[in-house]
Amino acid sequence: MTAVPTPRGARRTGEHPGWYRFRKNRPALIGLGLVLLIGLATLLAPWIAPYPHQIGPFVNFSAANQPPSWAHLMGTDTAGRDVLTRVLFGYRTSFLLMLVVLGIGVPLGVLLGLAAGYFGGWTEAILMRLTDVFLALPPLAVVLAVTSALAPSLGTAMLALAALWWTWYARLVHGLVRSIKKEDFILAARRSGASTGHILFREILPNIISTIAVKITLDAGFVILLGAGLSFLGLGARPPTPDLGTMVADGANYLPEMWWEAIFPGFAILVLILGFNLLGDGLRDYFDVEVL
Amino acid sequence: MAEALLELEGLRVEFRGPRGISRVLDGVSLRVAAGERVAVVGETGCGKSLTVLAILGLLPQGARFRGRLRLLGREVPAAEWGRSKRPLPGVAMVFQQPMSSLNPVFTVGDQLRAVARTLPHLRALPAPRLRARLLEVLSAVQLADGDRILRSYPFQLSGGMRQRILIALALLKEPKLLIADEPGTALDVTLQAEILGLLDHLVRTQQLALLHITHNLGVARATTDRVYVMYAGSVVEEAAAEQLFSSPLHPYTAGLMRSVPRLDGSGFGEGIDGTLPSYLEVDLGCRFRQRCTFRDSRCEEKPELSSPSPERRVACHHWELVRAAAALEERV
Amino acid sequence: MTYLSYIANKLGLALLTLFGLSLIIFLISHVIPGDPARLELGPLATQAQVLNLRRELGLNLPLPVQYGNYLWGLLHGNFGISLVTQHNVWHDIATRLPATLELVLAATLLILVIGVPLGALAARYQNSWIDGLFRLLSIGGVVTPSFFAGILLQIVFGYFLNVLPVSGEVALGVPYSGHPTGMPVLDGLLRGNWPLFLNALRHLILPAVSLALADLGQVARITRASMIDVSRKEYVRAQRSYGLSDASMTFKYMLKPSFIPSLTLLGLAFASLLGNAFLVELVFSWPGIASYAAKAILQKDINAVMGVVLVFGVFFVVTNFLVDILAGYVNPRLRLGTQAEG
Repeated sequence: MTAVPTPRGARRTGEHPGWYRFRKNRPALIGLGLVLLIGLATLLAPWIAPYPHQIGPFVNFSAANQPPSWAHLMGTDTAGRDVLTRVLFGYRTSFLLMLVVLGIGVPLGVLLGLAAGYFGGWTEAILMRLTDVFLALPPLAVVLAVTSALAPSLGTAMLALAALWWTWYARLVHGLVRSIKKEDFILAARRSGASTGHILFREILPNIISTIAVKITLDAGFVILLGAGLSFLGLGARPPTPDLGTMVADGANYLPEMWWEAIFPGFAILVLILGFNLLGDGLRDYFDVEVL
Repeated sequence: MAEALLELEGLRVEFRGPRGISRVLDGVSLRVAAGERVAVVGETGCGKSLTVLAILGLLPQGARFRGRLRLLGREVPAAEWGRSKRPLPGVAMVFQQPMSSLNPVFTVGDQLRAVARTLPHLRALPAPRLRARLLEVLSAVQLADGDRILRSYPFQLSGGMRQRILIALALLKEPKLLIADEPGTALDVTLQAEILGLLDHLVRTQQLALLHITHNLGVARATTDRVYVMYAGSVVEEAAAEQLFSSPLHPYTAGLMRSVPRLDGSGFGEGIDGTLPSYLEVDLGCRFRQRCTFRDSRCEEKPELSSPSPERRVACHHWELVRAAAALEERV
Repeated sequence: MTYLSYIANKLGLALLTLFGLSLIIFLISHVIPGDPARLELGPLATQAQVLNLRRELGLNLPLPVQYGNYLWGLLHGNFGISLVTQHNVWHDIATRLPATLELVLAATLLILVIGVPLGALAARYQNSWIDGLFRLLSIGGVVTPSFFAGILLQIVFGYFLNVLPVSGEVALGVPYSGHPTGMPVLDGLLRGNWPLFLNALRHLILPAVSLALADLGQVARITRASMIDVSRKEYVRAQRSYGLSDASMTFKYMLKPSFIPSLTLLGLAFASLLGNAFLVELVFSWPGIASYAAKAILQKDINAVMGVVLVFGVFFVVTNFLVDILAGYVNPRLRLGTQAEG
């Protein structure tokens, strides 16, 4: 098959100056650092957490509600469990939720967006109307409906979020494909007899992948944010699985005296979302793409 | 010669940058008489647009400028031009990006009215009479169906129509002098010719003077009475259009003419080797000498504008040589 | 295309969305949970009782007919009976809706009157310390979960400084009848009841700020970016050079084009406002819909949950419709289509 040159070559030349340009953006670098640091700590939680045995159904009322100390850097909760340990393991729940939701939602949305944008006509009309309807549904309300109809659990929450999240990618990709399919190199590929699959996945997709990547990075923070909100409502992971939103909700009952029980998990969520946001903003500037 | 409408003398513009001061305009003098059509030509970056921005009070924030400006014989104080951000009375600019010089979310009528309300002679006009005046201006730029156009948003109109509206915006002011920077270059060639024809028509019928900035010698020759040639921030030659084209006296002008593609089938012009010098370098000599075939030791000293004849000026030590060479070339 | 046909088009889309919403809710509430009759009667009821109730509820009819009946009921305000309160769900919601509305409206107001000018200010003083502070605040607002922002504000202003109340809508000692609007701040204002107004306002501040924070940051960021973008446009330079005044440039000819992106975002922001209102209400024991829904979810009161979801959905669709109308007004390209010739 004839190889058709795509503009992506221009971006590929010189990885090194690229890294230099990214490095100059200090907020983005901080974001990358935060995400990597938290990601690593989460991965290594069983080895670096001070009391890894306390993540299960563990109680020790004699050590309950202790303020931060050297033994418990973030204090202990009402069941006497180490807050730092539970925060580290709570991140695992956040990451799991984010990966599952985006892992289902993004490919689905990208495929539908590609189809709608490329084929046009009825495919486009039906898919985009469907997307419009889904986008017009208030996310939390749908998640509430689904989780209460089924059973409130992490799995249900992830399912409900994924069922909503594809719409954003369908819309984004649809718009990108519509503008790119009129470009000369796509027309050239079509004229030279390239298959639809080749054009969609070898010509179009590589050219919009950076925009999708930026959107994913920015979204990662929002999925985690929404997930934390759900578990704050009691619709997330079931106890005793450590979950940051649940920890904030539980700790909020003991304010202001036992402030550490809500404040530390709350800041833990905040810092992770901050990391993804700074990184996403940096990538957006770097690739110079428009993502809402 | 007719009475001078606008006189610019010794305009000098400098920018202070991280690598020192760059003098971008060095002693530019221009003169436009009432009803006269004057062109300023030169390649991109020679300072012709900056000269116009200074006259209009639109120099960028960091610019420092010196020089004198007289309008209708009256001296304009430095606070009222250069960076003043206020338009001079009697002088109007025709903007040249028809696709981007109109506000996209307001109707043409709204934008014309907003400008009208800033003008003393239109400010107090009752709405119906203002409307009549707007329709009049639209028909002056040969836009039929003025009612529809007033109600339209820019994106509903073609490029040529938008360019005419930009001219109408300038005409509202009832200026004595119209400044046009590369008119119509954003449009295709046929439309450009139409716009140039319209400007020419307006100049004749409304007794306007026109200061025309262009890099296109053909356009300058066809549509103007007198031409200033600029190079690297200075005027290097000034002459009546016919004179300039029949016998250029500055090597740069001669080079420019040779670089115009010829229609007689002898191929493309030769062009001038090299590029504009950096404005950062302090240079006491002639700024064209690095690209000049007539260069010798005298060129290390900056040539003053001299007058070979009453209506001509040239800044070159070797203008007689240039004239002789051109004459020789003609004979061969 | 005229403005009117643009509106008709958007109205059609809004109705289609409402139809889709009702269908989804119907499917979730009537199909997923299995047998609603069994659910309602509990495990001890006999099979005969269940069959009886099924007939009574119309559950033995084909699904499309059931959906028709359901839709017909909705149009008549019949959202079903709450299993917990034994009231009509619509009645339950209607009594709690004003409190939620008050909170959401207050947050929207904060976003508009603080977010947009703040963004414009940051754009005006681009790259100065004002701009730096602004960026820090706006990213802080965006990344802080609203419920956590609420908790932090409670600790600082409620417990630590002790200047603002941390729960409820009006203090117990202040008499309040709930008329005419059910929003105490508004009612206090309408009736000239200043003690009520001031007390309710003090209660409203912390929840409204917590709720507004995220979208305020987002809207301010977008406004800043688009103001900077617009100020560099050729037409702004041109209009300035014609001698248009600074005020009319800033507040008319630059603000209108800059407002388009913020407006699109505002529609989106509304979704997160509604969702976050749920969380913020719980943090501040706000007597709105959230506490009702939270209880309903815990007790598997499916009619109540679906009623709340439906009301939120309708609310959301209507607001988006209004934002579309406004966007069409601000952006002529949207409502007139793009039939440019050159």
